[in-house]
Amino acid sequence: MDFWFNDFWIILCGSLVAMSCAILGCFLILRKMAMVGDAISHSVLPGIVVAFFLSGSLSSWTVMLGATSLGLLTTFIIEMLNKRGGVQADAAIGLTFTFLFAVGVILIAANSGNLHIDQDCVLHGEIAYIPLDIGTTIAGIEIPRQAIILSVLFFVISTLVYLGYRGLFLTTFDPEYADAIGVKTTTWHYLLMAAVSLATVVSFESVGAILVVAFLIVPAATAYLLTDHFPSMLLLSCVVGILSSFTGYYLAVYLDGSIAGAISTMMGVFFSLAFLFAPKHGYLAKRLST
Amino acid sequence: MLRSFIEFFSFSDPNVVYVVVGTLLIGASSSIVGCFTVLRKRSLVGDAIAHAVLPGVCLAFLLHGEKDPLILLLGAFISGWISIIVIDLIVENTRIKTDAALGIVLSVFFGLGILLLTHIQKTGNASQSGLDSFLFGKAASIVGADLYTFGAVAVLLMVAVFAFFREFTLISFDPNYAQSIGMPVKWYQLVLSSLTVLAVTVGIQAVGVVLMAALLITPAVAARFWTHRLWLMIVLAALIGAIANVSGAFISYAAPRMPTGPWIIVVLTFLAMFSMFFAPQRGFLSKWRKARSSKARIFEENVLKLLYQLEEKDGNKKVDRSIQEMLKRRDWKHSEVKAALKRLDRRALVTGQSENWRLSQEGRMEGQRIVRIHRLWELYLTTVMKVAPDHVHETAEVMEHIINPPLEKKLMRLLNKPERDPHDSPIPYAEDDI
Amino acid sequence: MIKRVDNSILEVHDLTVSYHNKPVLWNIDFDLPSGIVAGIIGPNGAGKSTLIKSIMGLISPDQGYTKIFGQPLNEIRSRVSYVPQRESVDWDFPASAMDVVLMGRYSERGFWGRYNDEDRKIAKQSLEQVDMLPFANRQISQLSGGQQQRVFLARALAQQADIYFMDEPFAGVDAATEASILNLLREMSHSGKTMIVVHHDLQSAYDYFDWMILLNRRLIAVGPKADVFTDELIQETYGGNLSILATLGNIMQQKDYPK
Repeated sequence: MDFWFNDFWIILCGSLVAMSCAILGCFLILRKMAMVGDAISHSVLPGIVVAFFLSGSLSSWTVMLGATSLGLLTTFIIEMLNKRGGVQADAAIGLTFTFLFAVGVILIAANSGNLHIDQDCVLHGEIAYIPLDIGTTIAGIEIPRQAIILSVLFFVISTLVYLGYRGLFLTTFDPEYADAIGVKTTTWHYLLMAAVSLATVVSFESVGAILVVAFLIVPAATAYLLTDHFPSMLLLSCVVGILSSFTGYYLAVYLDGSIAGAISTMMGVFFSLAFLFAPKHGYLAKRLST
Repeated sequence: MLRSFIEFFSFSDPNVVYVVVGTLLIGASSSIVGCFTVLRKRSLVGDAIAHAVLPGVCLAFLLHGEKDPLILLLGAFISGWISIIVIDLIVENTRIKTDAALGIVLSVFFGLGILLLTHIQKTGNASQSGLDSFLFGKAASIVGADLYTFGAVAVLLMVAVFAFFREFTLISFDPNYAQSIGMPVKWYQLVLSSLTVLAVTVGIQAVGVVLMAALLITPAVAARFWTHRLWLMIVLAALIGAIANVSGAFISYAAPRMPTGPWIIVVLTFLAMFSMFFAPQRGFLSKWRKARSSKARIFEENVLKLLYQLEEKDGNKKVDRSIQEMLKRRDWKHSEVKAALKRLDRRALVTGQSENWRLSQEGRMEGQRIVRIHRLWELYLTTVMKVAPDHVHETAEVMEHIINPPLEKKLMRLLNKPERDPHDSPIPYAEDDI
Repeated sequence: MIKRVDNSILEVHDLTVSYHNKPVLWNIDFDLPSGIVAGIIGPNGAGKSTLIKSIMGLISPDQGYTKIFGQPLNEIRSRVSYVPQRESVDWDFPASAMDVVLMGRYSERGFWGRYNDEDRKIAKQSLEQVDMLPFANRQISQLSGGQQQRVFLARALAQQADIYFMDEPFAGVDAATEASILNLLREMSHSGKTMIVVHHDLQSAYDYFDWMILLNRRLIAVGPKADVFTDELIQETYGGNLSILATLGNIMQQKDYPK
């Protein structure tokens, strides 16, 4: 019974991370900002470390606030380097996130005695330990702390996208027109970036700073190959996320390896299937039709 | 600090020699290749390759069964290579754009790598395998045997870049043109990509997977601020890369708890920021200085113009004008006018002292020139550009400081040396213009 | 030949616009009456798109300003609509024609609002006006170039604005679309709306527009087409000597002239 519950909580948490990230990822890839998502996920590290040092816990408000603001700062620095400094866009991204990530690693090394973050955690998180950290007990069922936090994250992200759907959709499709009719495109941009930062920070403990990129981009890209209808794309990306969490978990158990790594691998498998067999936009469909 | 500095750079410790030479080679060689990746706007491809080598390393280890650096390198090279092909395959065959394709390849390959790595660790022979060094880099523990690999790769990269310099330049700058003159562009791109993979495979052993991108990108970005010439950019990037790598090695030698790779990146970024601020011409400071000095020059010209206009009004060239009188005509600050007059005095364009000044003969000529250009331009706008006369003043206020003597002559000839501007003010000419 | 208008609805005042310190538009100064279809005509690189973009505030000018209905642009945005160049967006975007047209209703509903039935009704009417109603639920990636252009027009219509800026709506469209756009322009100008259309083809310009704005980095002429479409003015637009402006532009670019 206990064992079954362990599986359940890990798969649930994996799915929650995957869904929160996938929803945001749909906007990121359509805005051609996938690598900015990558940059944010790396650069929140020093924010997490400093805030963790101040508050002593990985899932405190301080950490979320500190790291989210650092994510926003990252997008801001990238834009400044690009517009003011004359550094080309892709180089500006690379320069910014490597620096902030390096600072994060140095901070971890400098406080290695006091911090409960190690390099493994940064790389692939500790989703396997989620069931051990019980947050609350309802009707005799022990609910892990992370499951609660990740549910809140999913709720916040989906509410934001539900309420802001029109603005996000418009500014993603045609920012110039949006500007012309007086829509606050910058506000929407930073709102989305704040959401991406928040999602990366909250997912950090489960999947680490690097593999979260897979969660952001791969399910969204898979869904993009399968449909031409945006709400379906959002939904499908979540489905891919859940399927990957489920199969990924058992792959990890089978190989006795990292769960987050296995989930990312499964996301890659689903993407490859879509790449080959997607009805309209897949490789085979295109080759056969021409 | 000083003691470790001396210890480190006296190279009395053979390990230090290995580390210095090793990081230096890695830093220089990846910077050289990095210049081309940055110029081809493929900076982040380096990042993707760096992440993508991990599964290759792990698979090579699993298949071979023990740690042989060359086999691991080969695995890394193959899997880095595959990642480039997959990126191109996705971009060419689907609606997915480059940024997402990079993200997909980067994260999925890395995820697979992590899965394999943790699998290897659990089976118990990770510690002796040293696969970790691919993840975090091991610059501080480079040993003699590594130097052969690093040296060979560095030499190979430098020779290749030297041999194909012209071709690489052309395909980075204008691949379409290169194609049109019959150059085998695809082939050279292939060579360049292979060199990038090679540089990455070696480079990650110094700084690790995540930070490898910086080793390619940051030196190139920093060098770009200093020069427009490609070969000089490459030399500078190599130098910057080498300095940063050795500094990183030194920092972690002096403070053993400090990781080498991240410090290399921090030093690199500081060098890039330094370049961004202080490089001549393209740096912020020089731009800011230029803007400030041209602002000051424009203000001086405006003061001369005003003095000239005052003379023009009452026809008296022999009286001093007080700053107070000038301020009545313009919305200026007393102190800035005074400072400008002092500067003009030094150039002998005005005479007088503290509050009271008049134009010198040279100053009069200069003031007249500005007024003349202002009125010529107004006339040009109304007659040639057909702008309404009440709309031309604002532009003329700007152009009077920009139009140079040859252009002024041209303007004058075009308008047939006119007498009066659109507002019926006379256009003043110097004696020798007749 | 710059025709002055008494009760203008668009006033462009001495607009100078630069890219990288180099002016691409010099001292553009004109006004337009309401209820006309005005074509902005000029050769490639004349700054036609730049002109409408800076009128709408998408590019900030070095100097000068625009007033629409006598008010600064930001006060009046909801009465101004824009049809960007078709190539300016990614048509692989997962959206239907209807989704795109509904975007025209955005400003009506504010930041967190939602589209209601009225918006959908207006969007349908707009699609109907450009003969695209049967394609309302078609994905935009599956529409032809002309159909995509008509979807963009319908989006602008759905906004129910009074003044429309269109960037090359006739570029690369089929005959059916061309006819449909022309029809629409006529109908709308009859109902008192004003359309300002960037157009690169001199041949068709005379048939399409009531007014013309001849532009080649500077303004050559503005007025009713009969007055403006003369050999002399066309010659000046397409072959005019700009050596002074070109030289000056180069000096400004080199000097990093502070603004």
